[in-house]
Amino acid sequence: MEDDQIIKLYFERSEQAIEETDTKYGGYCYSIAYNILTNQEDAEESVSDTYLSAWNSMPPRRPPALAAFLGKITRNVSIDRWRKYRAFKRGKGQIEIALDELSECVGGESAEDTAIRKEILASLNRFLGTLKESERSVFLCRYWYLDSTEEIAEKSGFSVSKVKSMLFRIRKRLYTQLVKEGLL
Amino acid sequence: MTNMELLDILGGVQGKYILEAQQLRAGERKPHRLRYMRQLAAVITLILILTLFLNTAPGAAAVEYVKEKVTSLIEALFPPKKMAINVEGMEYEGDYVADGVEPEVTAEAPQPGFAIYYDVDSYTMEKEGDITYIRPYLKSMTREEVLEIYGDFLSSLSEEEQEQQIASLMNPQAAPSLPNCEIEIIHLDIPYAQTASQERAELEGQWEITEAVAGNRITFSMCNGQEWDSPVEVRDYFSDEQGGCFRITSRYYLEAAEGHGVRFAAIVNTFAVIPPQGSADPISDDTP
Repeated sequence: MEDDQIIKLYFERSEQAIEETDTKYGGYCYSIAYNILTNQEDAEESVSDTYLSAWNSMPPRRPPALAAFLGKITRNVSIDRWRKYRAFKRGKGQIEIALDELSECVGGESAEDTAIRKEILASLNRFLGTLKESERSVFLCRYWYLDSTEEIAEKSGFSVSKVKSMLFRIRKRLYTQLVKEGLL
Repeated sequence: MTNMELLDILGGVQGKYILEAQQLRAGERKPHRLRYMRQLAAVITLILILTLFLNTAPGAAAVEYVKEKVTSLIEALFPPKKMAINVEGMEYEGDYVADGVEPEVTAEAPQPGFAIYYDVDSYTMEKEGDITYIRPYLKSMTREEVLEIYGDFLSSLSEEEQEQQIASLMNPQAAPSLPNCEIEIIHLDIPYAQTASQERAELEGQWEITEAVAGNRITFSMCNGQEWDSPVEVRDYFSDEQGGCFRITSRYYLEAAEGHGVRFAAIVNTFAVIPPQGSADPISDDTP
């Protein structure tokens, strides 16, 4: 089914929207979640949370690219789950969990933090725009999809050491740009 | 900003880039290896052809054009490789990447460049003006990485010591009391034998020098004292084949001779001059 039709189902509040999303993008979302959580059950729960979040967002949102929209939700949900799991594992001490809970009362980031994050994100997007397509894809496979360098090498046809060296160079260039723009 | 925050912020990058990368993951792009090899062969052939008429203005302009198109001559001519080094009887294999200075291919003032391989997991290259440095890379780690790598060692410590060790391993700092360990590379407009001879006269008062000559490379191995932290310097003078030279200085201390010293020597041995014509040749037999 085409993305437009799936989005239309969300707007009609049809539960078929979830089924169609799962058919078309279930594997994609699962691969993102699994890379972060490395646990089947947790990854499946993250994918379910993604569908719930998509259901709550559409309407009013009408994403221009459904795959990217779902991918972003899955990534955020999975990183959040990973963080909580890590805090729990590390914690016995409850500080991180308590702080996390308290953040709901204080509304998260300050306006200044949000502005800085926006600036960094804008800088990142500019930076990505300066990279060659192959470099950009390798960088995002690693740091957006969190694929291993071995997986990236297999998919791209580059050797593992080539992938590592590309990432090394890109990280250096990104660091230089962020420093130059006063963001670090 | 922490690495976790950067990972978070990265989550918001433009959707078109995310989808582009997904195409690669889904195998919807042709593998690059063959394409890369073809490009590399084409670039080398083109550079060799252009070399023939470099001295003409159109030739120099054409080389400039090719250089712009391939972005990095070093990257094209010196692909990453694995190298094994024997340190204190143990063989270490590392991922080596070439970096350096691109040659200046202009008809008015052609300048040679250089490429040198170094282990990207242990060292980093920094450029300060005309001087290039290769320095130890103090890699920070997450708590989980520290526990995974040093778990056995840490479990033998008290809780307080563990926390101190974990904190220092997560954010390693160069010990201020230790002498500097680094490689310094600089280009000089004086022939290599002349530079070596002039500098030897200045150095003899301060160092005990052992000299070695191989092809168009002169090496001074110098030490000053027998204490564990006594400074050691190795100076290599390479002809740039254009009437000048590159001087590479490796600095460390006596106790680091079997660690950084061995690694630095392996790194310096990969040094290659890139003449302005664009074809690289590590060492040639001409004398100044």
